Amino acid sequence: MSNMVNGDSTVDRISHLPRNIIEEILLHLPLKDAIRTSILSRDWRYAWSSIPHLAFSRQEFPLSKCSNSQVIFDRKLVDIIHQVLLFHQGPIHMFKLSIDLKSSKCIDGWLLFLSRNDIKEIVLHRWEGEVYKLPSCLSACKRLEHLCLFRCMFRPVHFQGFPHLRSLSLNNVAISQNELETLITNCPLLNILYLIDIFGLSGLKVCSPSLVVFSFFGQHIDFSFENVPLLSTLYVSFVGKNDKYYASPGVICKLFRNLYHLSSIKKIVLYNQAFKVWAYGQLPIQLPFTYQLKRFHACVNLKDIKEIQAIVFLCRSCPLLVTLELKAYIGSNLDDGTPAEKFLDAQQSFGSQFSHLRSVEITYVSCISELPFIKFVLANAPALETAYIGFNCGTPIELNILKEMFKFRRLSAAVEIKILNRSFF
Amino acid sequence: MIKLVSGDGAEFEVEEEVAFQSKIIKDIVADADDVIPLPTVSSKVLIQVIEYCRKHAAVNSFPLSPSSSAAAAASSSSSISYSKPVSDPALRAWDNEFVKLNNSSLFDIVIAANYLDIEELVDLVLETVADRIKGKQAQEIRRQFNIENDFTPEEEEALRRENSWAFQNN
Repeated sequence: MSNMVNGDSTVDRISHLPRNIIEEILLHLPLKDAIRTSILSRDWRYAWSSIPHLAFSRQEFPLSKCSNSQVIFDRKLVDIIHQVLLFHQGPIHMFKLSIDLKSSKCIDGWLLFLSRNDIKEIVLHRWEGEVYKLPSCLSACKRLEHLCLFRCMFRPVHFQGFPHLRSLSLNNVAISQNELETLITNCPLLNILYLIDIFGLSGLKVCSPSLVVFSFFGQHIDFSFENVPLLSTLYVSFVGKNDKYYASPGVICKLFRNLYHLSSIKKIVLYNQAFKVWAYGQLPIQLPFTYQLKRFHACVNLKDIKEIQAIVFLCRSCPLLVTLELKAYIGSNLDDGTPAEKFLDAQQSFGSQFSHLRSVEITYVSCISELPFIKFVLANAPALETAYIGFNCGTPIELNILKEMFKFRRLSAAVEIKILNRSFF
Repeated sequence: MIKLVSGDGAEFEVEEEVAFQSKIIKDIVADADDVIPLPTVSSKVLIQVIEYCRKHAAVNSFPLSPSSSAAAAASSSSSISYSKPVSDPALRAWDNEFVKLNNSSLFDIVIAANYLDIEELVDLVLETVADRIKGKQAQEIRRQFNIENDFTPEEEEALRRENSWAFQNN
């Protein structure tokens, strides 16, 4: 109580704060600064040693500033980590290794140690050296809630699953389809799944009753969804040449095939080639209706009749769509856009399809033949508030496009057209 | 309206949404009356805490612009990224002004916020305190926080050697 009223600036208050607050201060410091507090006074001598988070990151051990060779650096780093683990007392909830450690031979031992110390979150991120083969003791980390792996090989033997795992991020990880599917189904609380440049994957069936966010970046694979009642956010990005993966004729395109299974989806983002790949194929005669989808983002070729059709059908499938953001890209076909225009003109009778659309954003516009879609949206969206238009930089006919655009009929009297000078993707 | 009574007897009437920034008050109000005595919090500190809660309650009650709310949702749903949830830049600027206080005042606020369970405020203050420690030499930290060095020079030297890597400036 006396401290409370006394603003005396010569009193040591920090050392007498409640234990949990001191621990929180140390948690806000990089490990190196936390350890440096050990020499402040006897009160601080062991304060750092019970912090439950240990993060060894590049910022604290910049290799570039270390004039020694990689071998010496590795040896020093391993010594430091061993010493920290030796001094540490109490549970370790988070262990993060995000560093240029080339040798991976000590990591097995650390993981074993962590598996016995109540570990809840592991981040392994090494840029150098061979791909790290995860040891079987990883599956002994039963209380794990977050796992983030970079450049690892996951070959679980007798894998029982992680009963508490909520988020999983695999980046440049080698894992087979079967192993990944087993991993996903054996994590009953998994909410967030990030897959980035996975190798060894031939396809994937995502089956997870708890999954809320799913993100996939990498080479195209055929994936499908089953039993994902909570999935609300989906990011997909395919890179590379995907021509050989296009669906055979007569098959319903993947966009709609997947939509049938996504009953709670609120946001879909399709980067790079993903929309092109997913739009390819037959459009369904009976559209699936998705009343949850509010936001849709994609890279779309606005001159390609197939893609225009898919986007129009998608908007009709999702009558409550609020935000539509498209990045126009120039496809390989030199289509002049005439078929797309004819198709769109024929769609005018379905005026109610954009009934909830408030904001449309179309960026990287580069030619007149991409305008029919913008015209179509403006003419059919009664509640539209803002139309953002961005040009591909250096488009010489920007002014002509603008002049053309301002002539379009707008169903919503309140709509404001804004020109963007930035890109969003 | 909820009435908060500070340790020195001052009374403050605040709107529910302001007071409910504190999880403890929210719980108390749920099963008791609307006058809440806070014997360990002085009126000076309570005024500051209410100022913070009022600002945050006002910002939180307005829907954010679509892009910033999407960014916030994306970052809060992901515990993989270690960055803090993206908040309104104007609010962040306000927060930065709010914590321009001496250490002693910050500790008063953090003790109160910890007691009242206002997580964001605890976090904001401790981040500020940590920033005042980060990268500094021991002598400087001791001076800034009035910590008395009760080690002998020999002991201190031995401790530095124990974790020598942490004391090398690279």
